[in-house]
Amino acid sequence: MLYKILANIDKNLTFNVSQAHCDIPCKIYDPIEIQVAVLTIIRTTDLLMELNDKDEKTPNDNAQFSRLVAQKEEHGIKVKEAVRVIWGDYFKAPQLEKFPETHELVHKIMLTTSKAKQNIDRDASTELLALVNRFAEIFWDTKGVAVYRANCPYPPALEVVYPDLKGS
Amino acid sequence: MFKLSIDKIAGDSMSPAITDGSYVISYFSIKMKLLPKKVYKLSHPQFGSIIKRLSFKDKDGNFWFEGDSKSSTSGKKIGAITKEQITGRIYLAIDSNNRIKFF
Repeated sequence: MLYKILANIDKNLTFNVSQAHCDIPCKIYDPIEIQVAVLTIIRTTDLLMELNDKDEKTPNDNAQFSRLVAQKEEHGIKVKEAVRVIWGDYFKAPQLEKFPETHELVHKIMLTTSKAKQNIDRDASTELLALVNRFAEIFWDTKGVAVYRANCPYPPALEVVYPDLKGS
Repeated sequence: MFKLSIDKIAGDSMSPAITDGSYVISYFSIKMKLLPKKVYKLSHPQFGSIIKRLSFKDKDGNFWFEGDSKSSTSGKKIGAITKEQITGRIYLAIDSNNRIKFF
Protein backbone atom coordinates (compact mmCIF):
# COMPACT_ATOMS: atom_id res chain seq x y z
CA MET A 1 0.00 0.00 0.00
CA LEU A 2 2.69 2.48 1.10
CA TYR A 3 4.86 1.50 -1.86
CA LYS A 4 1.94 2.08 -4.23
CA ILE A 5 1.31 5.53 -2.75
CA LEU A 6 4.98 6.44 -3.18
CA ALA A 7 5.01 5.02 -6.72
CA ASN A 8 1.98 7.18 -7.59
CA ILE A 9 3.58 10.29 -6.13
CA ASP A 10 6.76 9.36 -8.01
CA LYS A 11 4.82 9.27 -11.29
CA ASN A 12 3.67 12.85 -10.80
CA LEU A 13 6.53 14.48 -8.95
CA THR A 14 9.45 12.22 -9.97
CA PHE A 15 11.69 11.50 -7.01
CA ASN A 16 15.42 11.75 -7.33
CA VAL A 17 17.02 8.43 -8.35
CA SER A 18 19.95 7.24 -6.25
CA GLN A 19 22.15 4.55 -7.69
CA ALA A 20 23.06 1.43 -5.77
CA HIS A 21 25.92 1.11 -8.20
CA CYS A 22 27.45 -2.23 -9.19
CA ASP A 23 30.66 -3.09 -11.04
CA ILE A 24 28.82 -5.80 -12.88
CA PRO A 25 25.90 -4.17 -14.70
CA CYS A 26 22.83 -5.06 -12.68
CA LYS A 27 20.80 -8.05 -13.81
CA ILE A 28 23.34 -9.04 -16.47
CA TYR A 29 24.22 -12.62 -15.63
CA ASP A 30 25.32 -15.31 -18.09
CA PRO A 31 26.96 -18.64 -17.22
CA ILE A 32 28.74 -18.78 -20.60
CA GLU A 33 31.79 -17.08 -19.07
CA ILE A 34 32.01 -19.97 -16.58
CA GLN A 35 31.68 -22.58 -19.33
CA VAL A 36 34.34 -20.90 -21.51
CA ALA A 37 36.69 -20.71 -18.50
CA VAL A 38 36.22 -24.46 -17.88
CA LEU A 39 36.84 -25.24 -21.57
CA THR A 40 40.06 -23.22 -21.26
CA ILE A 41 41.07 -25.33 -18.24
CA ILE A 42 40.46 -28.51 -20.26
CA ARG A 43 42.36 -27.14 -23.26
CA THR A 44 45.35 -26.10 -21.15
CA THR A 45 45.27 -29.49 -19.40
CA ASP A 46 45.44 -31.21 -22.83
CA LEU A 47 48.34 -29.00 -23.91
CA LEU A 48 50.14 -29.64 -20.62
CA MET A 49 49.76 -33.39 -21.10
CA GLU A 50 51.12 -33.11 -24.65
CA LEU A 51 54.15 -31.23 -23.36
CA ASN A 52 54.59 -33.73 -20.57
CA ASP A 53 54.75 -36.56 -23.12
CA LYS A 54 57.78 -35.03 -24.86
CA ASP A 55 61.00 -36.90 -24.07
CA GLU A 56 63.22 -33.85 -24.28
CA LYS A 57 61.98 -30.42 -23.37
CA THR A 58 63.50 -27.23 -24.77
CA PRO A 59 63.66 -24.01 -22.73
CA ASN A 60 60.69 -22.85 -24.82
CA ASP A 61 58.74 -25.95 -23.78
CA ASN A 62 59.51 -25.22 -20.14
CA ALA A 63 58.41 -21.61 -20.57
CA GLN A 64 55.23 -22.79 -22.30
CA PHE A 65 54.60 -25.24 -19.45
CA SER A 66 54.75 -22.43 -16.88
CA ARG A 67 52.52 -20.24 -19.01
CA LEU A 68 49.89 -22.96 -19.39
CA VAL A 69 49.87 -23.70 -15.66
CA ALA A 70 49.37 -19.97 -14.99
CA GLN A 71 46.48 -19.84 -17.50
CA LYS A 72 44.84 -22.90 -15.95
CA GLU A 73 45.15 -21.33 -12.50
CA GLU A 74 43.75 -17.99 -13.70
CA HIS A 75 40.72 -19.59 -15.36
CA GLY A 76 40.02 -21.66 -12.24
CA ILE A 77 39.83 -18.44 -10.25
CA LYS A 78 37.48 -17.02 -12.95
CA VAL A 79 35.18 -20.05 -12.62
CA LYS A 80 34.95 -19.68 -8.85
CA GLU A 81 34.37 -15.93 -9.00
CA ALA A 82 31.71 -16.07 -11.75
CA VAL A 83 29.82 -18.95 -10.08
CA ARG A 84 29.89 -17.08 -6.76
CA VAL A 85 28.40 -13.95 -8.38
CA ILE A 86 25.50 -15.79 -10.06
CA TRP A 87 24.86 -17.98 -7.01
CA GLY A 88 25.22 -15.15 -4.50
CA ASP A 89 23.57 -12.29 -6.38
CA TYR A 90 21.15 -13.80 -8.91
CA PHE A 91 19.82 -16.85 -7.08
CA LYS A 92 17.17 -15.86 -4.58
CA ALA A 93 14.45 -17.78 -2.72
CA PRO A 94 12.22 -18.62 -5.75
CA GLN A 95 15.13 -20.04 -7.78
CA LEU A 96 16.48 -22.01 -4.81
CA GLU A 97 13.04 -23.41 -4.00
CA LYS A 98 12.73 -24.65 -7.58
CA PHE A 99 16.23 -26.11 -7.63
CA PRO A 100 17.17 -27.16 -4.06
CA GLU A 101 20.26 -28.95 -5.43
CA THR A 102 21.88 -25.59 -6.26
CA HIS A 103 23.86 -25.14 -3.00
CA GLU A 104 25.33 -28.63 -3.20
CA LEU A 105 26.07 -28.20 -6.90
CA VAL A 106 27.90 -24.90 -6.30
CA HIS A 107 29.93 -26.46 -3.50
CA LYS A 108 30.86 -29.36 -5.81
CA ILE A 109 31.92 -26.85 -8.49
CA MET A 110 34.20 -25.11 -5.96
CA LEU A 111 35.82 -28.40 -4.88
CA THR A 112 36.20 -29.74 -8.41
CA THR A 113 37.67 -26.43 -9.61
CA SER A 114 40.29 -26.70 -6.87
CA LYS A 115 41.07 -30.25 -7.98
CA ALA A 116 41.40 -29.16 -11.63
CA LYS A 117 43.64 -26.27 -10.56
CA GLN A 118 45.89 -28.32 -8.31
CA ASN A 119 46.49 -31.17 -10.77
CA ILE A 120 46.90 -31.89 -14.46
CA ASP A 121 43.78 -33.99 -14.30
CA ARG A 122 41.58 -34.29 -17.36
CA ASP A 123 38.93 -36.32 -15.54
CA ALA A 124 38.51 -33.61 -12.90
CA SER A 125 38.35 -30.95 -15.65
CA THR A 126 35.67 -32.79 -17.67
CA GLU A 127 33.73 -33.49 -14.46
CA LEU A 128 33.87 -29.74 -13.83
CA LEU A 129 32.40 -29.11 -17.30
CA ALA A 130 29.50 -31.47 -16.52
CA LEU A 131 28.86 -29.59 -13.27
CA VAL A 132 28.93 -26.11 -14.84
CA ASN A 133 26.72 -27.36 -17.69
CA ARG A 134 24.17 -28.42 -15.07
CA PHE A 135 24.57 -25.01 -13.38
CA ALA A 136 23.88 -23.35 -16.77
CA GLU A 137 20.84 -25.59 -17.33
CA ILE A 138 19.39 -24.56 -13.97
CA PHE A 139 20.19 -20.89 -14.59
CA TRP A 140 18.47 -20.80 -17.99
CA ASP A 141 15.48 -22.74 -16.65
CA THR A 142 14.96 -20.08 -13.97
CA LYS A 143 14.95 -17.51 -16.79
CA GLY A 144 12.39 -19.53 -18.74
CA VAL A 145 14.87 -20.12 -21.56
CA ALA A 146 15.16 -23.56 -23.20
CA VAL A 147 18.62 -25.00 -23.75
CA TYR A 148 20.32 -27.34 -26.17
CA ARG A 149 23.59 -29.23 -26.07
CA ALA A 150 26.23 -28.95 -28.78
CA ASN A 151 29.95 -29.47 -29.05
CA CYS A 152 31.81 -26.18 -28.81
CA PRO A 153 33.20 -25.26 -32.26
CA TYR A 154 36.82 -25.11 -31.09
CA PRO A 155 39.16 -27.34 -29.07
CA PRO A 156 38.49 -29.25 -26.86
CA ALA A 157 35.21 -29.68 -28.86
CA LEU A 158 33.24 -30.94 -25.86
CA GLU A 159 29.53 -30.77 -25.17
CA VAL A 160 28.31 -27.45 -23.79
CA VAL A 161 24.83 -26.31 -22.73
CA TYR A 162 23.75 -23.26 -24.75
CA PRO A 163 20.58 -21.15 -24.37
CA ASP A 164 18.11 -21.48 -27.23
CA LEU A 165 17.37 -17.79 -27.50
CA LYS A 166 15.51 -18.08 -30.82
CA GLY A 167 12.76 -20.06 -29.10
CA SER A 168 12.26 -17.59 -26.22
CA MET B 1 19.33 23.04 8.55
CA PHE B 2 17.23 19.89 8.35
CA LYS B 3 16.09 18.24 5.13
CA LEU B 4 14.03 15.14 4.44
CA SER B 5 14.05 13.54 1.01
CA ILE B 6 12.65 10.53 -0.83
CA ASP B 7 14.71 8.70 -3.45
CA LYS B 8 14.01 5.78 -5.71
CA ILE B 9 16.82 3.20 -5.74
CA ALA B 10 18.22 1.89 -9.01
CA GLY B 11 20.46 -1.16 -8.77
CA ASP B 12 21.12 -4.03 -6.42
CA SER B 13 24.45 -3.11 -4.86
CA MET B 14 22.77 -2.62 -1.44
CA SER B 15 20.81 -5.86 -1.74
CA PRO B 16 19.49 -7.59 0.34
CA ALA B 17 19.08 -4.61 2.73
CA ILE B 18 17.78 -2.28 0.00
CA THR B 19 16.60 -3.82 -3.26
CA ASP B 20 16.30 -2.38 -6.75
CA GLY B 21 13.18 -0.19 -7.10
CA SER B 22 12.78 0.51 -3.38
CA TYR B 23 12.01 3.98 -2.06
CA VAL B 24 14.21 5.35 0.69
CA ILE B 25 13.61 8.22 3.06
CA SER B 26 16.74 10.04 4.12
CA TYR B 27 17.43 13.07 6.25
CA PHE B 28 20.20 15.58 6.37
CA SER B 29 21.17 17.88 9.18
CA ILE B 30 24.36 19.77 9.91
CA LYS B 31 24.64 17.87 13.20
CA MET B 32 24.03 14.50 11.49
CA LYS B 33 26.27 11.81 13.01
CA LEU B 34 28.37 9.75 10.63
CA LEU B 35 28.46 6.25 12.05
CA PRO B 36 30.10 3.11 10.63
CA LYS B 37 27.67 0.45 9.33
CA LYS B 38 24.94 3.06 8.70
CA VAL B 39 23.75 3.78 5.14
CA TYR B 40 24.24 7.21 3.60
CA LYS B 41 23.46 9.04 0.41
CA LEU B 42 26.49 10.50 -1.34
CA SER B 43 27.07 12.96 -4.12
CA HIS B 44 29.84 11.26 -6.09
CA PRO B 45 31.74 13.11 -8.86
CA GLN B 46 31.67 10.04 -11.15
CA PHE B 47 28.62 8.01 -10.08
CA GLY B 48 26.24 10.86 -9.16
CA SER B 49 23.82 10.30 -6.30
CA ILE B 50 24.59 6.91 -4.74
CA ILE B 51 23.77 5.07 -1.52
CA LYS B 52 26.41 3.07 0.31
CA ARG B 53 27.27 1.84 3.77
CA LEU B 54 29.92 3.70 5.77
CA SER B 55 32.97 1.53 6.49
CA PHE B 56 35.36 3.82 8.32
CA LYS B 57 36.84 7.28 8.64
CA ASP B 58 40.53 7.53 7.72
CA LYS B 59 43.23 9.53 9.50
CA ASP B 60 42.80 12.42 7.05
CA GLY B 61 39.14 12.78 8.00
CA ASN B 62 37.78 11.25 4.78
CA PHE B 63 35.07 8.61 4.73
CA TRP B 64 35.15 5.22 2.96
CA PHE B 65 32.03 3.41 1.82
CA GLU B 66 31.08 -0.06 0.55
CA GLY B 67 28.02 -1.67 -0.98
CA ASP B 68 26.37 -4.68 0.67
CA SER B 69 26.33 -6.89 -2.46
CA LYS B 70 29.43 -8.68 -3.71
CA SER B 71 28.91 -7.09 -7.13
CA SER B 72 28.90 -3.56 -5.72
CA THR B 73 31.44 -1.05 -6.92
CA SER B 74 34.33 -1.50 -4.52
CA GLY B 75 35.25 0.99 -1.83
CA LYS B 76 38.51 1.63 -3.69
CA LYS B 77 36.61 2.69 -6.82
CA ILE B 78 34.28 4.90 -4.82
CA GLY B 79 37.33 6.47 -3.22
CA ALA B 80 37.66 8.85 -0.29
CA ILE B 81 34.51 10.84 0.40
CA THR B 82 34.53 14.19 2.17
CA LYS B 83 31.93 15.15 4.74
CA GLU B 84 30.51 17.71 2.29
CA GLN B 85 29.73 14.95 -0.23
CA ILE B 86 27.48 13.10 2.23
CA THR B 87 24.00 14.38 1.45
CA GLY B 88 21.87 12.32 3.81
CA ARG B 89 21.48 9.35 6.10
CA ILE B 90 19.02 6.66 5.05
CA TYR B 91 16.32 6.36 7.66
CA LEU B 92 14.05 3.75 6.13
CA ALA B 93 13.45 1.80 2.92
CA ILE B 94 10.19 0.50 1.49
CA ASP B 95 10.43 -2.29 -1.05
CA SER B 96 7.90 -3.32 -3.71
CA ASN B 97 6.41 -5.88 -1.28
CA ASN B 98 5.71 -3.04 1.21
CA ARG B 99 8.35 -4.28 3.59
CA ILE B 100 9.71 -1.41 5.65
CA LYS B 101 13.25 -1.53 6.93
CA PHE B 102 14.68 0.99 9.37
CA PHE B 103 18.37 1.83 9.39
